[in-house]
Amino acid sequence: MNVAEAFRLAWGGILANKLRSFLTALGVIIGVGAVIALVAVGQGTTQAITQRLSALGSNLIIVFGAPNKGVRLTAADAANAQKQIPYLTASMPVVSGGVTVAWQAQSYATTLNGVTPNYPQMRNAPVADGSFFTAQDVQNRSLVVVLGQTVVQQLQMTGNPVGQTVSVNGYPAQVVGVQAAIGGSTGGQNQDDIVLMPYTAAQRILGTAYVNQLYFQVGNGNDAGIATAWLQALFDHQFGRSQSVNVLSQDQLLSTVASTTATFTLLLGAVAGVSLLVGGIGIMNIMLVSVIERTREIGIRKAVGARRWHLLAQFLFESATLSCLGGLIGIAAGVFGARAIAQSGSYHAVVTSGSVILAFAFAAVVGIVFGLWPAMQASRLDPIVALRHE
Amino acid sequence: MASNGNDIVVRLKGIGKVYASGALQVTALEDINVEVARGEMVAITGPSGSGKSTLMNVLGCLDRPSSGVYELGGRNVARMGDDDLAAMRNRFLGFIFQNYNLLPLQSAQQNVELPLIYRGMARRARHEAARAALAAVGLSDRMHHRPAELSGGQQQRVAIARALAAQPEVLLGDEPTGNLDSRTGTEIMALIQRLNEQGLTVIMVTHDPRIARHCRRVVSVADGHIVGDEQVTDRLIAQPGAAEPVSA
Repeated sequence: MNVAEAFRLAWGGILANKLRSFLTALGVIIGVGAVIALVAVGQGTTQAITQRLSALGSNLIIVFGAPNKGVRLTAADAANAQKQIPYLTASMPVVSGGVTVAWQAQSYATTLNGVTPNYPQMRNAPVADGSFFTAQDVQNRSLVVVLGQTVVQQLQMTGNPVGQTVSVNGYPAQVVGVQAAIGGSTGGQNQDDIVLMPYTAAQRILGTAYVNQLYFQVGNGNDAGIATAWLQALFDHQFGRSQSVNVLSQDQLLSTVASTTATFTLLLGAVAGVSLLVGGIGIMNIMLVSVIERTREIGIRKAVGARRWHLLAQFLFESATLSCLGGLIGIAAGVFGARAIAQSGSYHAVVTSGSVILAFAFAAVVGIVFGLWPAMQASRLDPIVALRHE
Repeated sequence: MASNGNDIVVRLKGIGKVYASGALQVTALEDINVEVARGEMVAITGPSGSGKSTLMNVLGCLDRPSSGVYELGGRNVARMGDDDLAAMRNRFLGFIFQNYNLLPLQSAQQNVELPLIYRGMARRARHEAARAALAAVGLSDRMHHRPAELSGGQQQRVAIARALAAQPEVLLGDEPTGNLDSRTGTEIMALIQRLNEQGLTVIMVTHDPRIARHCRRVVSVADGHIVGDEQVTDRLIAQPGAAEPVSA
């Protein structure tokens, strides 16, 4: 008896009781499908967040102050740091706070970011209509704004917003530009829900002389590490204590987020893996029942000359075929499920070949491991006892 | 039937079988000595509990004797392992049982092919052998029927075909007509007698003296011993189609 023959025997056993075979495989189908779909959600979320972070702009380093510890940053700190540290090619102070924007009868609560004309280049956020404000506007504390797409929509601005006047916390400001849509909302703040203004004017509206963050850009991504260290040293010296400011490079951000989402993905995969394991136990359960039910058949086969390994192979192939078949259907279900989740809109889902291969291999191993014990039971039956079994 | 020494197919020498059931030891067979020559047709009879079923299991290589030598096809099988016994059953023995023991979900042809699968015969050769064996028992038109779609007599003929397909040295029957009405039983005995005429060695266990009289030789067992071993003088020849057999 060769492999094809063993497979044919096993297939006969599966077809003999189609409904039960399907229900047995269902555990594996759900397990594999869940692993693939949930890992796809994890991977998709990771990818979306990573893309969002990459969209922040390349080679960015952000310095956060700590106002509660008395570490307050000013716009002059940004210019000073850029002067002192040769790797930095651009800098920008950012002051931010919640404001209410109003246009005609509409008003809308959003975030005001006071920045410099470096913003579109440093944050990868081009202007769609009109133009960004100028260095002159910064110097003059001009009340001019660039609106994000969400703000334009929420204010229900008709016609071209550029040239219109909106009120920001009661201050009249002229709209000089509208940002191109960045899109999405995964992982925190909506980048379109924003009002940009010269930081000098924003400081006036928000009533502060300080800024929240300093943005720096390095010319070469490889310099980010040394520039980060240098910035930390510079501010630690300035404020007279270590760890005075929090310096984050984009690389650090990415790796922090990556490790978080990897944990998330692993957790989802593990939960789904447990259901796959339960599916395997279901296979063992059914195969054990099947061996008892088919005791007579085993006796007959032994009487006409089946050796131990013939029966071992038959039953092992049966459970392995069930689990592999369940694995294949589960892959289809998982891919389909991931697509359905992605289309529902609130999650991103990316099916990776790695998760498909892993889930299928696990299913196959589950079928073999959990099929082994029942198959050994079958192969060890005494033919006389088996033949007498009713 | 003349039995010269070279033509002995089955030889039991001092076979004993003891079952240990807890502290109790039950002797099922003791010092059994039997030789069966090629072409013989032997009935093993005895009351229930006499040990004839145990003897049949030993003869069928389904059970190992506790002592003695059992030569089948010139090899001592008394001390063989499970897999070797399976191979001996496959090569030398064909079984027919009282309850037919066919696989219910497989067609007649698939049932007949079963021993050939374990012999490693290729598919096409297997199909041929099964077809020929079913033709030999007159079931060419029932090849693709499942056991449930066949009458008892037909099922037993499938079982005989399954035994024949493997071209065994010995056909072993365990009450082969036990589940059949007398007319169908007669048909089956007629078939077995015909196969025996063609040279097949037959050993069957039966408690029915009438069935035993269809054989050429009757071995009687009681209390684990052979108590009688004689040629049948008033042998019955089964007539297919007739309810009653006629004397030879």
